[in-house]
Amino acid sequence: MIRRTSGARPARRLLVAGAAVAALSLSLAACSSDAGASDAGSSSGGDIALGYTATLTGDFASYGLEMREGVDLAVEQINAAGGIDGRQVTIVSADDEGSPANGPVVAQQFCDDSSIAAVLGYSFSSVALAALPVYDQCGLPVVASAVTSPELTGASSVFFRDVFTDAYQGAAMGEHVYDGGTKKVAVLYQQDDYGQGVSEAFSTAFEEAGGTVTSSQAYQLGTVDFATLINTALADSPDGVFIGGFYTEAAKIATQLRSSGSDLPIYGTDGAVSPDLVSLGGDSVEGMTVYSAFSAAAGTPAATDFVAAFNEKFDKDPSSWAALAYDATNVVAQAITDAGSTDRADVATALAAIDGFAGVTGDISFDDGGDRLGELVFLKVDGGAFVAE
Amino acid sequence: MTQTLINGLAVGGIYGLLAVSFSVVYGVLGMVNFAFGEVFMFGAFGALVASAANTQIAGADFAGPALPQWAAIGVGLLVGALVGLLIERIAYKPLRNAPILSMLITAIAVSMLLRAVGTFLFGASQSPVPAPALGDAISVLGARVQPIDIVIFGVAVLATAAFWALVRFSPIGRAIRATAQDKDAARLMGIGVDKVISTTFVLGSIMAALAGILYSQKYGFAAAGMGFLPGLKALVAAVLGGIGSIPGAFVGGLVIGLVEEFAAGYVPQGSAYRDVIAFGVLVLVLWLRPQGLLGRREVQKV
Amino acid sequence: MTTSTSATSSRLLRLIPPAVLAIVALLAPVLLPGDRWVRVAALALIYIALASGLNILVGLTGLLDLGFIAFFIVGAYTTAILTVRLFVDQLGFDPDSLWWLFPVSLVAALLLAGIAGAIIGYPTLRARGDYLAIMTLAFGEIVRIVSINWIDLTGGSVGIRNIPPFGVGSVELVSPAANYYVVLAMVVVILVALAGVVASPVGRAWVAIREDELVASSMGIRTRRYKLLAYVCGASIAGVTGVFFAHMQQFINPDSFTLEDNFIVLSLVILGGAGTYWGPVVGATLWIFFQAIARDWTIVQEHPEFRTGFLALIVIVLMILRPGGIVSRRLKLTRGSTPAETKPEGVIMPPVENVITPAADSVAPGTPVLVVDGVGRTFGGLTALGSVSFEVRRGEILGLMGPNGAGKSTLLNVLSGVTKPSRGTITFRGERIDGLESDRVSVRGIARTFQTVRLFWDMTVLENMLVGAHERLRGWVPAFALRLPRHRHDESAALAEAGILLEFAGVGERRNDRASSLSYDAQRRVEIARALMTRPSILLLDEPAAGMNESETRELASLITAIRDAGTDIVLIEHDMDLLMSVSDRIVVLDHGEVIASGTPDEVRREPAVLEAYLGSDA
Repeated sequence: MIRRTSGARPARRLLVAGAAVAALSLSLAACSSDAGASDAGSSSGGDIALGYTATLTGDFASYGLEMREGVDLAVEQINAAGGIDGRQVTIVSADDEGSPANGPVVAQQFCDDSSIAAVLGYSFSSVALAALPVYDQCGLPVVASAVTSPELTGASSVFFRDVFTDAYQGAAMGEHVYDGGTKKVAVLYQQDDYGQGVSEAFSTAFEEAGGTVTSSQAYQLGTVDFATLINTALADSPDGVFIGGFYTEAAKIATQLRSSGSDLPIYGTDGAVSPDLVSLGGDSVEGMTVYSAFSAAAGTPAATDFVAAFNEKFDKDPSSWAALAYDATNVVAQAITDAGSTDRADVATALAAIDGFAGVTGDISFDDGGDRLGELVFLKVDGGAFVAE
Repeated sequence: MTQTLINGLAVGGIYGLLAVSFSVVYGVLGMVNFAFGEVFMFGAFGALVASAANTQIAGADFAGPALPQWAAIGVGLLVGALVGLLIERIAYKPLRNAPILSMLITAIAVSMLLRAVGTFLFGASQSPVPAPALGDAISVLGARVQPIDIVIFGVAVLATAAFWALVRFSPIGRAIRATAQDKDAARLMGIGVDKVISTTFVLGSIMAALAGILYSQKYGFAAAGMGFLPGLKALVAAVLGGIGSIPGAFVGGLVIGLVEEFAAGYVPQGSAYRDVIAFGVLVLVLWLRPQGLLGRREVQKV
Repeated sequence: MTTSTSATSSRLLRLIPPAVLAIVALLAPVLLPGDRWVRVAALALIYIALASGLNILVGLTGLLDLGFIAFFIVGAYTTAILTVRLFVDQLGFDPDSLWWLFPVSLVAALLLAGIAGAIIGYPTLRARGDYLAIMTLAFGEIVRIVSINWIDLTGGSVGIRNIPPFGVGSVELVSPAANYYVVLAMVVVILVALAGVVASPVGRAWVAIREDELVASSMGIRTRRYKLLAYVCGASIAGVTGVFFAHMQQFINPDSFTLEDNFIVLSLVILGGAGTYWGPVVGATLWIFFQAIARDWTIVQEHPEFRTGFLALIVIVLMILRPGGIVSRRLKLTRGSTPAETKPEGVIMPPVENVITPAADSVAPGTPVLVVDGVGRTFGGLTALGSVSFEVRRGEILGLMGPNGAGKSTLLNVLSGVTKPSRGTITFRGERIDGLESDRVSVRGIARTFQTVRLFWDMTVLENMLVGAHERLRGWVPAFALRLPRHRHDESAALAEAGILLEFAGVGERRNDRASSLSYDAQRRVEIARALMTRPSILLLDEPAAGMNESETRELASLITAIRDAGTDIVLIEHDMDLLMSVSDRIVVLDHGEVIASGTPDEVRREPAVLEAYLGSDA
């Protein structure tokens, strides 16, 4: 998923700000040296830099900030273990502000910096799409962790992501909901690429499994009043309600659904996975089912170690975005090791060849379109927290 | 049908209140104060912060006064009035004789600035607002009516009526109407025009803040950007009703609320086009009747 | 200024700032540290173009547009849909071979955005300024939401990607510097064309409308048409910019254009200086680079809202303290200039009669030219004019007198088309003119001045004069954008005429001064000269001597008779009895909206009804 969210907490902001200042001095140094992109990676000594970009400020900063935590933990562990081939890893960070117009500017900044071997991050599919032509030009590979638009599938030979596409996730949710015994669902979705993509995939899979979609209604991001929509949705007496959208609207739909007297089960998407879903939705979102690529309670050995390390560093459980970004960083490190160089083309080739990399979010491989192959985790809101179903 | 009607009236009541703010200030100053959407927001946050036991302002934790609901609402109205007074005194007063274009541009800038200040103070994300304890929904003609909707509609009607009566019958109301008609003549008649304008701003801001508080209670959140879209809709409502007229503005608000809800309920994919429909109604009305539904044509002065 | 060499050198001096700017703009990709900043610069160019387009509306014409970005969206989607959706997806063309489609998209976007501008502009012509602002805001939102919702056409929120980059043949211009230069070329073309249009009757008409719509109309400018034209021109610039933006980014989606961008572009115009030429350029450049630099500041990273907040704060402070913005340099509305010295030695100037009424007039003196028959005007229940009949004859000065509230000014407004008569007819040279708009009345040959002087205060005297020549200078916008020599020639001729008329009115030496800097007496004279610039056959003067001292009034009297002798008939409203009696050939006396007497000054003086009206019935 992920285009937008919110809520940067001050402590994290400071941390990121500090990191950003460090990154700034690095990037300015890179600017003034005015290195061309063509000789990228030919130097064999010195640190290996990775670009990191996401929406780090504004209304939708939290995904970018959470990913950054995963990246930082991974880099710290890699460097503590002696780096990649003895070279330390550093991060060059840039904020895209969620604006597609900034996509090419940030991409160009990374392309210009010859020490950068690969790029991590991305909060918004639209920003990544805007940036791709620039990456194509300089051959810099990207491993994104939070952009889920099907448009990105196969969009570039240097673009990879370790997050599942909306189509994949929506379909998995459709089957899961049907298997859970719900046969008739009313769909409400956010009118954009995310909401639409995920809801279409959900509806198709749900109906193929044998279920019935009683109604499908779109709403604009930022809508606050769902009374009439809910009215229409309930008119066909469904067994459940599926919301293909972000937590801000999902919380309001849940609240207004409950106050309209309905106690139907509510199904959400990874876009609803945020602590703010609970703070805004309160009791109304209790029992709501969502999915995610990762859960801190997943229980695999790799995940357990990661959660422990993350808890130690940040004093909290990692979000799935942190886990995905953590994996993406390790995948890139693996690819550089495999390639034996930081030459961008070699790293891209090595990334395409990654097969069954054991990450904390499960085994990671990329298909021909650069998309992740793997398994989802289903979560339920229980006592104000997300727990594995 | 009944359900949609009730939803429309509740939403329309909020638009109507805010539209009255736009309308009355327009009547006196001849300008659209785009910043009422932000006064709406500050009102909601004022009440939220006053009722909370602990809050975060500008990233720092504070112990909130945890006032009871009625007192918190009073604080919200006060905050709205204060913000309104400040922007009038600081930004608009120096422009009293400037071209209308300068005033409009300033109003837009004030709105942008206040939203930035709101984001700085209260953060970029939505803050949850606890729902008022008003009991369960009641059944009216087969439709479920939320108590909050009844409160909203009742408060909106009462506040608008009170406001209208104030402007109509009180001495300050007379001064407001005199100023609206002819500033210079009013000044000659010994009316303190600046004071009247400030008073109108404060009264309008209280209406806007009230709308903001009701809105945040109904939808369970407050956010720096919360006033933008309602502000736009209310502006549309005020124009529909013939800007400058208090009953017109309120009726315009109800019309917009109903049009939106019926469009969302009965037009295929109407919910996605909800805003387009509201704005489309405006464009259509201005094409056909440039002075608004209840407005009068203005005579050009030479 | 007085010798030709210093004139040349001052012209050269004037060229220095643009030349420096051009060099900086050309060298920017080399000077900037890294391609990232070249991309920032290209983005700044896009904003320069947008701000310049919006400046036509907000700065020049005084129309607020809060949905300006909509035209940009229309342009960007036009090229994206045409190229990607139609030619690549539907017709199966190879995107790399579509470089020839770019000019086609450009024209299509120009037209579509222009049409969108006309659609949004049309109803706003009748609506008030603030309704207009709200309506443009609504329109902008409609376009944006439709672009999100109409998925089959626009791709919805996903947008449209794989838009081919700029290129010629098989050469693709994809590098940041190449992109920059292509967009720079666009901006230069827009700015040069804009300069041509601004210093033309079109630009002057826009500024005249902003300064005083009623007076603009009385100069023969079809104000509604020019307001609509401003929308169309602004929209076209935004549309073209959108096309370049789409090909530069190679990807567009609705996130690329937010409502906030409308306010930001507006703020940039204000920041740089609304109504100036370089203001939008300066404003947009400063802001985009400030944005890009501030992105690296800790305080802004923690609080990105500070940036827009800061911009808004600057706009508020500017509005209060310096509404002219950073560049407060006044816009030049004509390219030509006449030397300040009067008649050069040895050059024979055409006699002023030929300037005022160039067409040989076959009407015999004494023939009625303007016949007012039973004209009345009622406002609500109030009768300002009952039923007024009189005529103006060729070769005369007709005095119009009456006590305050007699209906003189209403009569003048009715004659000049400012207000419509409620009844009766007005015939001018055999044609009915009652019911015509004031610009049409002006074009027929009836000019007027105003009771309180109404010049275009922000223009120079000469520019005021050129507005008077609007009808014979006007032309097609592209011709002005291209600066065709014919128009330059016409403008020089008009400037020469203006010089002669200003000499004639006794204010020749003030021709390059700003109208607002003139003395009251000079303002009156310029207003009369400007009215003469429309080549009227009848001139309506509304209390021209008000506020003048005795000697000024005497000189005014001789100017008025000189105008009549030069061939323009005059209707004179005046409170100064001495002036009225001394210059008028005939006098019509109004009271309570009715004609109570008419005749020669002597006859009127003896009329008991007149005495009664003036002194009251007790007298």
